[in-house]
Amino acid sequence: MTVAGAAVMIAQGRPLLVAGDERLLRQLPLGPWLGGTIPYFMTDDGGLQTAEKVFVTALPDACVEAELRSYGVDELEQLPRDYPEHGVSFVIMPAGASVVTRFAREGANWPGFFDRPLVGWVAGVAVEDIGRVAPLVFDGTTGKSYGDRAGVLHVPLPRTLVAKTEIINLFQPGPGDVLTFTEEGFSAVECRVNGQPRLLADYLTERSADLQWPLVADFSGASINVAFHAIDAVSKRVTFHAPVLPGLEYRLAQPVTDYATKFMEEFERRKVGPVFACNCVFNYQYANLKGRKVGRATGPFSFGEIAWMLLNQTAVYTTLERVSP
Amino acid sequence: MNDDREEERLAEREALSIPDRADPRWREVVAGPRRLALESLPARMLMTRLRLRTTRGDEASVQAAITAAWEFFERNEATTQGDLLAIFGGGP
Repeated sequence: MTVAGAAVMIAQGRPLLVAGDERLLRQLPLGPWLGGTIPYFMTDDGGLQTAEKVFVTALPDACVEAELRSYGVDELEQLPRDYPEHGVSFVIMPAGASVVTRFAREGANWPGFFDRPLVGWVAGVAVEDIGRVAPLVFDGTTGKSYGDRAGVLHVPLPRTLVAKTEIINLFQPGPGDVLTFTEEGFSAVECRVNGQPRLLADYLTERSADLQWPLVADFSGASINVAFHAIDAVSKRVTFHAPVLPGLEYRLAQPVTDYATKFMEEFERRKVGPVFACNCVFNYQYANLKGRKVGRATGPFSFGEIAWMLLNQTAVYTTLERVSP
Repeated sequence: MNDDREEERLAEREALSIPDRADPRWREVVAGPRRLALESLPARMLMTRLRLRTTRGDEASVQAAITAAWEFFERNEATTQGDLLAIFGGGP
């Protein structure tokens, strides 16, 4: 959508989520919108990279009001206390910021954290601009942008609607070794492989592990990924895009081919029409999703997906379901 | 026939109610060896995290996990019926 089109929607006063290039987001008028920078999108015509259009997620007519708040790293714990009594909260955080780290490591411990749907994404930039251009979050009510705060749109829902957040993870744990860690963190030097202490970097090198395929753990029925970032050959430190948890059993993922078809099939099988969706930019990159549709979902490709936890290489979506009040 | 159906309904309601916090089954849920296969995403995430915390083995961690799990289901009873059924299945 063009900036002019987005401006018309903002003028209508409905709460919106907007994704796009910083230059475009700065042109939008004030209003109840939460924005984040990213140039990659899932569109009706397939995967797209553009700095000339924004992607607008408009919530249904029933969502007439919303409260937009931003949280610094020391204020994040307040987030679940601000959940609407009945509703859904959409969050956008800037990649690389300390808010992402704290959220990912501590969020699950905050009282009430899992009590309402908390869904969103991590803002980023064009891959070629990583390290040169800062990802930003925009508060449309003030026009301010942040490189170090989380923006959250708390949306109350009528009692006739219930928000449900789900994930589609194409990765399954492979049949191989069990990897465990003794410390939580976005990096690790040591691990245990089938209970035996190893240097993770050496293990991955020996296995010729393709770092495109994440670590996968079973969360009581949900497969959750931790994507690899890099291996430092000197320090032997392996870095991740989400924290590994101590005691949890991880396996290297089974390789996936033809992401687009598999996403399509999974969305069809679930028969869902999301009001919000995002997908990992690694899925866009590794599976070459440019021009390819990934099912019924449209929205940004992100530098991390949020469905309560910080997720990697996963599609996240939220549906609104009608219920008897 | 109607009485049977009523009994089934009562039994089902009983099976889906949240056990008291002191119920020993909570300890099994947060610290037992049985692998949980839950339905809702927040329950899957929370319960996995809680079970990891109890691997330290100290009683305080187990009690804290029981409290957190019980409070979650108590506050979200309507949206976690499938999870309660998966965990407590046949009732007390």
